[in-house]
Amino acid sequence: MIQLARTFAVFRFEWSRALTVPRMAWWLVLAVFPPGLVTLVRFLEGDPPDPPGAAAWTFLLFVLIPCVVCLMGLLLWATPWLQSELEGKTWTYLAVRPGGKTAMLVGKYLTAVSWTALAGWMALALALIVISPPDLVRNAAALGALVLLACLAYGAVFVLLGVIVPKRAMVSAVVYTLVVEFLVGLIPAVVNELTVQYRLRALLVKWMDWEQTLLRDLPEFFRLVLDSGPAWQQVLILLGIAGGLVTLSAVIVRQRELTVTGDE
Amino acid sequence: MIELDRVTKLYGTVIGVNDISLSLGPGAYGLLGPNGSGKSTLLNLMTGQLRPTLGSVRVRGGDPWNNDELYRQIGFCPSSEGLYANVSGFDWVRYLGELHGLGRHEAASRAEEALDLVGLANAMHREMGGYSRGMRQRTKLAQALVHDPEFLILDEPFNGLDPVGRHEMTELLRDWIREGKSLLLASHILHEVEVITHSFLLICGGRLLASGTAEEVHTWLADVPNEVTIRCNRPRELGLRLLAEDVVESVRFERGGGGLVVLTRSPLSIYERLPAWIDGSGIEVQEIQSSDESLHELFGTLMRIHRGELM
Repeated sequence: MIQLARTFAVFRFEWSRALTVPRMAWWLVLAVFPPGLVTLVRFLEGDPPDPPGAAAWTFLLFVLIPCVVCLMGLLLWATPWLQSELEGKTWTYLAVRPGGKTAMLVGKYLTAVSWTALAGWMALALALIVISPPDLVRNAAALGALVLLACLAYGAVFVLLGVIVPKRAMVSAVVYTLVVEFLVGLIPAVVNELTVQYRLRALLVKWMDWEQTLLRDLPEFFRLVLDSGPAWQQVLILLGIAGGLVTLSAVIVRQRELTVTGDE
Repeated sequence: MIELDRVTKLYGTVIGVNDISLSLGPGAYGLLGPNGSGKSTLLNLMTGQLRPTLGSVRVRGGDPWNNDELYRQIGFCPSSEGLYANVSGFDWVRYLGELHGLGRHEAASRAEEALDLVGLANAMHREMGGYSRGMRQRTKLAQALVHDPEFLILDEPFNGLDPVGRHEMTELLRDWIREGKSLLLASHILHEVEVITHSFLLICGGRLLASGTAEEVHTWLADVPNEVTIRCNRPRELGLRLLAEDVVESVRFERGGGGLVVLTRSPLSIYERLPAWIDGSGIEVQEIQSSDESLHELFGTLMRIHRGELM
């Protein structure tokens, strides 16, 4: 219980630090970027003879929000969680508190996830207002859940990268995103099953009920980069990735010698 | 309270702490050493932020590494200046109190008490980015006190304090010792430590060169050749007179001709007998400076002994 209270103290403290003009400006940029882009597409689209269907809009929102907004938000927040404390020389004060390292890691992880998820949900709400799809509730529920799962899983990946290579956390996270999530995740082989993208795509297809409709008309390639397991399995795997990687990060950060530079 | 058994800490091929053994009971101690001597590494080992490469460290009976029970008993104030600029001193100290397991209200009242104790009652709700260096130093001390520890470990706590601040900090630490609590104070300035405690650990180059009371260290040094610099109006004449005395081992003259450097194993005899030696000679002594009066020279002497250059 005390450890939970400590984690909550970090969460509350980090949120209070987040409510500054520069950080809120970043939040706003992330929240308005997808609806802004959607509005622009709608405006430029005019009145075409063959307008994009509802599925195309849903897929665009999937790419823009769980795949771009969430990744960007977590890159900014989750990745440098340790680096910022070491470079700011504030790590020492936390490291000599009972359970301080773990509370710091989990508290900062939860702050990054909630901060980014709120931006994602705001972006989703605004974009859905602009699009007004026929199955609004299903879009909101499916994409809203995907935002949360993406934040939990990507947040855990970036937190781990921040622990393994604190001095090069941002670079390693960008490389991971480009190489693993966007490249390996699209290779039609077993290796893509290790990516978060693979699970999120599978959930999108299942929750939007595209398996029996949209997917039948698409080339074979698309079947190869989508998992056919049930939705609950994908959710469990994503939650397992999140819990497993945060636990691994906590073990590493407790065992690693981390001191601020410039003490001597 | 603290037991180090042949502790060595390597950073790759660089030695931070070199084969240090010591045993300290409860009390107040000054850890003295020049910048880069290994003080902070030693404190990081004692506070469980580093693990020794060789040897073992025990603080209050336990290994400090990830020792939550020990962290409840110690308050640590590092030398580094890291504070969150957009957070008030009160919010930060309360937050660190909460990390000690204090409830929010209790942490708030303890934070107020600690900040009041270090003289920041009026500024505690201002953002720390606007604090002077002395105020930041006081805030750092407050965070070390907020959970009412038994043992305070301070790394260069006087840095950035003005004379009034130094006096207040000194009085605060004296009160702390008077309450029967333990203190380990690291500094590179002798007199800062001397006014608080008379038990010293002298560290240089990662090695523990000497330990004991100030008197013990000075007594020990009494048998070691010391350099005494004397500035006067007729240094060559004084030099000739001094060479006739058995306590003087050698004399050399400073460039410029204003002073002479005397090598002696008994500097106190020089001080006591010099007035008699120059009485009636017309020699006017302007300044006497013993090399062991400055900590830097003291460490130089100790290092030379350690290397076997002086016996």
